[in-house]
Amino acid sequence: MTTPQTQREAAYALGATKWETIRIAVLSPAKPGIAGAAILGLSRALGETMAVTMVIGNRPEIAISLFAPGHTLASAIANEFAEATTQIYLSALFELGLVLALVTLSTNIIARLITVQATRRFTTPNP
Amino acid sequence: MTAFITILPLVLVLWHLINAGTKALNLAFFTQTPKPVGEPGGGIANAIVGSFMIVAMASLFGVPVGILGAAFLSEYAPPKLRNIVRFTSDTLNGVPSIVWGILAYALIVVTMGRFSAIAGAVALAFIMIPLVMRTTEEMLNTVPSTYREAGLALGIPKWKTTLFITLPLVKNGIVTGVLLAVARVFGETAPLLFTAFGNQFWNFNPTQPTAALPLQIFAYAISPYEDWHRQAWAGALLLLMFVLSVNVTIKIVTKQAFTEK
Repeated sequence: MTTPQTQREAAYALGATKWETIRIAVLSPAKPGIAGAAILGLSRALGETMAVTMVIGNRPEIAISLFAPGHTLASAIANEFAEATTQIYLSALFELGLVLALVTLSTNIIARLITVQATRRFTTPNP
Repeated sequence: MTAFITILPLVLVLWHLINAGTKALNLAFFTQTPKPVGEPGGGIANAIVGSFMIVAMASLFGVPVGILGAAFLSEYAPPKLRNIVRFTSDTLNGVPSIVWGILAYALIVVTMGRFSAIAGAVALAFIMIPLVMRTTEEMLNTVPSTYREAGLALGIPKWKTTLFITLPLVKNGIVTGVLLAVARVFGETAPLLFTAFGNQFWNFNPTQPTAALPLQIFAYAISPYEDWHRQAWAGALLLLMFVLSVNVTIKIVTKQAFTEK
């Protein structure tokens, strides 16, 4: 989206077809932005709670098969919080929350840094 | 082709929801509270009202903080602080909603000693603040500085210029941001799980556990009863309809905002 129109026109002027223009002049400079967006999407999915809790099966084990029930950080919290009666149980769930927050925060920060760099490249006008 | 792939899931979800949801949609669904387990019938009226109550309170907490925060950022803050806050709020935007739920639990449920609608509202407000703040700030940045200078030239104090000249200019944009945030938090389940907690009965007291639409859908969907499954589908249909209509309202408001200028 932020790829300047002039880049496209330059590619066309060099005789590139529509597909080549997209590949060379649009996708290629937008690579960091796309990577950042993908990581943002990943961190969003990492923290998704309800949709995962309803279907993952909630088994407190590391599943060897991809088709066996398992647990995610978020689904463990959502599922067991109501039944956490002892202080240590509650603390363990809080720690899961901390780990989840740290993981998503770091992926988020990485994604932001990548996109910030990418946009900075476009906003500095080259002569 | 790409457009088709993008639209396909939406159409499938809508089609399935309408198919499964309309079976349980009747007057009782909107006017009655849940029946005891095993008895057919009943509705989720208390969850619908509870949801509106919680979201209204969340907006009450979150929207002023968001708007005034944005006003501070765009009018008063030094550039360095502005960048830091902007980066932080963008990052907070990506924090999973369940983490906000735990935070509200630790802050409010533990101190109050019981689950309550207020705790749920605070959890949702945490989610709303960065959303509202970022959209409002973007909007404020579009106001030409001549307006501010005109205000100052007339001898109006800066805070008055901000509150009565700059902010009203981008009223529509702010409304859009707030509606977007409302649409986002209205469907949130995870932060309400151990804050608002849910309730099978009417409750208008914000310091008591309160039912909410997404919570009720979740509880019904994982229950073993056929009748509750049907009601969960209907609840999901209702929720989707509400969020869709808010989004359509946003489209209309933004269109107006652009034609006015």
